Amino acid sequence: MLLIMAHSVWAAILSFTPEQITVGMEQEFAVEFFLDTENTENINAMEGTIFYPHELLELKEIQDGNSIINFWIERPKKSTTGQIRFSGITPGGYFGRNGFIFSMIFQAKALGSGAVKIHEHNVLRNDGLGTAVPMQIHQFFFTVSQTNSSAEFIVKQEEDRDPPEAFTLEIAHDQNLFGNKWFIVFATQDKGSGIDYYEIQERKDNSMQDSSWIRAESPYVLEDQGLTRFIFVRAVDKTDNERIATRVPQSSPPYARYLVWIILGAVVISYFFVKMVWRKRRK
Amino acid sequence: MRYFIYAIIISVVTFTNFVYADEFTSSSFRVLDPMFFSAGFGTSTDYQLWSSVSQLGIGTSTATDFRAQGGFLFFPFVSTPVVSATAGNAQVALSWAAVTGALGWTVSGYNVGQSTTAGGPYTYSSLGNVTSSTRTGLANGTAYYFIIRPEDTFGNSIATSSEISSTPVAPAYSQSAYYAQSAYSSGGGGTPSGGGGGSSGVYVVPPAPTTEVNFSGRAYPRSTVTLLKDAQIAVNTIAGPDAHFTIKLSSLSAGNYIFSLYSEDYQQRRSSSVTFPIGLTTGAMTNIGGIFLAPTITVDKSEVKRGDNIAIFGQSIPAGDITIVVNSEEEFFGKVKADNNGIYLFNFDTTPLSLDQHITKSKAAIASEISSFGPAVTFKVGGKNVLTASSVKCPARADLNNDCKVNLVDFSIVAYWYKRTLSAEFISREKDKLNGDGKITLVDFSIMAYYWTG
Repeated sequence: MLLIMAHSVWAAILSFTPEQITVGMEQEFAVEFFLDTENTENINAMEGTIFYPHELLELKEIQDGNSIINFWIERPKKSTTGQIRFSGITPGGYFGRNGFIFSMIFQAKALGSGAVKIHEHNVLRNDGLGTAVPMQIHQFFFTVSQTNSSAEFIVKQEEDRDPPEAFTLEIAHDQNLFGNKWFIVFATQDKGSGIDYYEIQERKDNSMQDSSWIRAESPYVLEDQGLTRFIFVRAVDKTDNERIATRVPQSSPPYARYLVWIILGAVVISYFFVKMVWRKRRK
Repeated sequence: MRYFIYAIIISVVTFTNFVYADEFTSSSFRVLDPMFFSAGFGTSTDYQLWSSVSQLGIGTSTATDFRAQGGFLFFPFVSTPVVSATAGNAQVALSWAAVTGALGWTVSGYNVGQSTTAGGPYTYSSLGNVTSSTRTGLANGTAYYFIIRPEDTFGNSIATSSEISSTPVAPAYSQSAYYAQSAYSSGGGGTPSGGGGGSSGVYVVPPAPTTEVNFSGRAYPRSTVTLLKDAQIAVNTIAGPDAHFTIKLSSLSAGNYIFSLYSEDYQQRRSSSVTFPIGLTTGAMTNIGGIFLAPTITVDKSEVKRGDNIAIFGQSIPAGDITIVVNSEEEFFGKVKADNNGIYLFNFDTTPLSLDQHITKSKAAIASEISSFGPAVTFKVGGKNVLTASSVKCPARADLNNDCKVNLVDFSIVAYWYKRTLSAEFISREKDKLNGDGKITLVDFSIMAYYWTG
């Protein structure tokens, strides 16, 4: 009974890898952030704030490629304030022991010791109710010394030649959003370096122009509210591999509708003309 | 005989607060709430645990004045593990989701069975309580067959996965390595043969390694099966008349993926989703077999007059054994066989239920495979009969734009209101579709993620 009670105190763990490290001044090192559901819980949403001593460490980069989070509500961003806020969801849920969330690349900038901690965390069960899961938190401890470290967590540049994952574009409108205008939504992942940015262009014909790309974030309000144009969205990862998704026009342009009537009119006129000529010949 | 009756009473009083089971009945006695134990577990120098009040073996309890059923209508339960196998160089990486025992079974470890012959015999290895294992020292190009068997606290196997096969492969050369080796080989005249026969060396573009994943299992006869890759629809397919389906996804990048799979039955009722977090390796094929979707379920009345029957029905595999549970203060179990189209119907007498809300759910079994329980549906036991509204085909919640899907559009709508004051119109939508607290928080996103359709 005691064993059962002890085990049920928490059901998932948020932790860092490595748990502790000693690095030299100016050295860059990676700290990976993980979720372990103990194989007992199915988790579909999480949020939290990571605090780090910004007087000792400079946050150089955040890498979220390959994350178990499919859609970020608040994507973790590089900051100088010593705080990294994140929230996101995993539709269908995640269970497992090594759920990679994201990694942080730090550079040591002053001698000393400190810890990277998680606060304001909330991890929710995939039960249709959003029930909070009891958590255990492991912190990350570091020491910046005069001597360089040869630890394996020192940053290594890894090759990424794969484009972001294929994705689709959805358009919608909602009376509560953007004055009921049509907007487009998109999202994809990159399993290597992670998504860097998205670009969009709306074109009358099915061809892209290099000069027409505009930086965009989902949801994006469409310029063409008649939905008569081709829409191209380009996802670019942090090593410049790219993937383009296309959506064909939902409606015909106004001139296309006139064209139909013109053709129909021409057919009718031709019919009567041929009939008239045929009658004259019979006479 | 008197001591036997005492033993029954002691056993019933002492051990039977867990579940409600079927009753042994006759005109002269009733045995209520029998408890199931695997024989031989209770041993000690100073006590003896009665193992069962049922007959010693099926069919051995006979008399002229009573009849004993050949077992209870429920048993300790554990779902069948779904196993994924990823081929590597002279190895195969196996992984599976932890299975959860119920009604008396606790999974304490796993065994892997390995064979080079489909169907075995297998060589078993004990793995401990883990959910992955890499089988090494295998021959490249040879097909290996694996099964996973969870075991209980006493080391007894309590379930067996479907067999999964995988063929280890030698690593594909990178282009530069391939070129170098080709040149070396042509110059030196040795192997490998990929370099051609020219004395100056021939550059041969090697085939690009294919990273792919295959899914196979059982849904419902001729049902639509949808596969989501990282929460977006990747494939729709139709299951066969025997409910089997296979899906192949190729040209993937190496990395971590979360695949989800669900199906819709003949009345477009959605199954529960099953989710597979998988790490794919470049050039490797990953097989995920033995997927067994839980049955769909619905009821004919949203409110039933106490004492009347309520019809519980849905779809599963053809001729599957369906177990239906009605959760009340006690749990009631029933069994019924699905027809050749996988459709099942169970009429439940509501006499023993209290005047309250109740839920029911179902699971399916065939041969040695058992699904997990499917989605639960609720009904009320009251003073009148109210028929259920026509079959609801849209997600019950989180479909913000009423298109019968919960996807990125709904996510965008909710994300727009995150940490903002809701408009009056959206407050009513939030109340209707999300958790109804008048604001958008992570809980609303969690509800959305649960009802996600892609």
